Amino acid sequence: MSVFRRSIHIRDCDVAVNRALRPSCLFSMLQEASIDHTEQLGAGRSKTLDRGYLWVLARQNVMISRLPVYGEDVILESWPGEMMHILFPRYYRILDTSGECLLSASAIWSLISAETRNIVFPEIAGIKVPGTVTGNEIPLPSGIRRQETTVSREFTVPYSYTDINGHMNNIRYLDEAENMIPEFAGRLSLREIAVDYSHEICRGERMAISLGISDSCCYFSGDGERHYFSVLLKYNNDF
Amino acid sequence: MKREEVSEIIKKIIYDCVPDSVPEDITDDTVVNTDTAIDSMGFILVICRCEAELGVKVPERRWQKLSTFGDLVDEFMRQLEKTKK
Repeated sequence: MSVFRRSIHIRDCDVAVNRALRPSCLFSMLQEASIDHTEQLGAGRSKTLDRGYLWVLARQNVMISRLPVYGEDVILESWPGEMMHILFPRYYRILDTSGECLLSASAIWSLISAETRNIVFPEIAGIKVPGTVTGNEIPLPSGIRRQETTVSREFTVPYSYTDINGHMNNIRYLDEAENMIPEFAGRLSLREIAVDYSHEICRGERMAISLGISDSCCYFSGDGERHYFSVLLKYNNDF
Repeated sequence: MKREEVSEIIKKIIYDCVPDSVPEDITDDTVVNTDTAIDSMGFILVICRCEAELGVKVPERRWQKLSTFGDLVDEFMRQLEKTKK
């Protein structure tokens, strides 16, 4: 069984004013664990990036009991699920020092060609990631249904938001969503985060980021020439 | 498994995976794979979920032939029939 484990100390720069881990920082931790573990499993840089293949995140879902807080030490676990054709599922948990599970996550990764930006079949790329079953898996992310939005702003992807893949990094979508969160929602506790990365967006490209609020959810959508992403934040308390 | 049962299973999976990509009343003629170049993550997720739910595999070489909901149902019925033999 191959489960990646990493000890993490929650720093001041990782948290918001409510001292809870910010969603974008959480996603950054999950992303780095994915990359590092994939490297350990032999499907890292020399097999992918250096050969013109890019790992991209398609969907991610996080179920939260509570977010880690400033000063806390936690354990991040991650493991790959069984490959499904061109899809690479991955699972995550964050545990506190007593072993209590604070949150669980699932994600769907795939490989694309750096040149054509099309999905690559793993057999063609010579990539295989053996799956592990721990019994702690949560369901893979479902699609996020589009919702009515009431607020919208224009956004142009700055250079500093782009990553090694040449497009806006996954965590930046969370940053931009958080920037639109109403102040009162920022004081509530999150219970679920869902993200659909529908299409990449690159430096200089523009999209309208829209927000819709209903019941205990904030829904964000990035749209321009195409639909770029959806984010759904669900809270424990009704608005 | 009857075609109606398979149809309902696939329909539920489609609504779950790609809730905004299809109308509320899916028929056999409803186009579910708008990108036959197999770049549609949603369509691929549907295939994978259907495979897991129905316990059969659809070869990747057949994906490009699957455009409508009816095509999907027929293909999974075909694969289910194969497992009986």
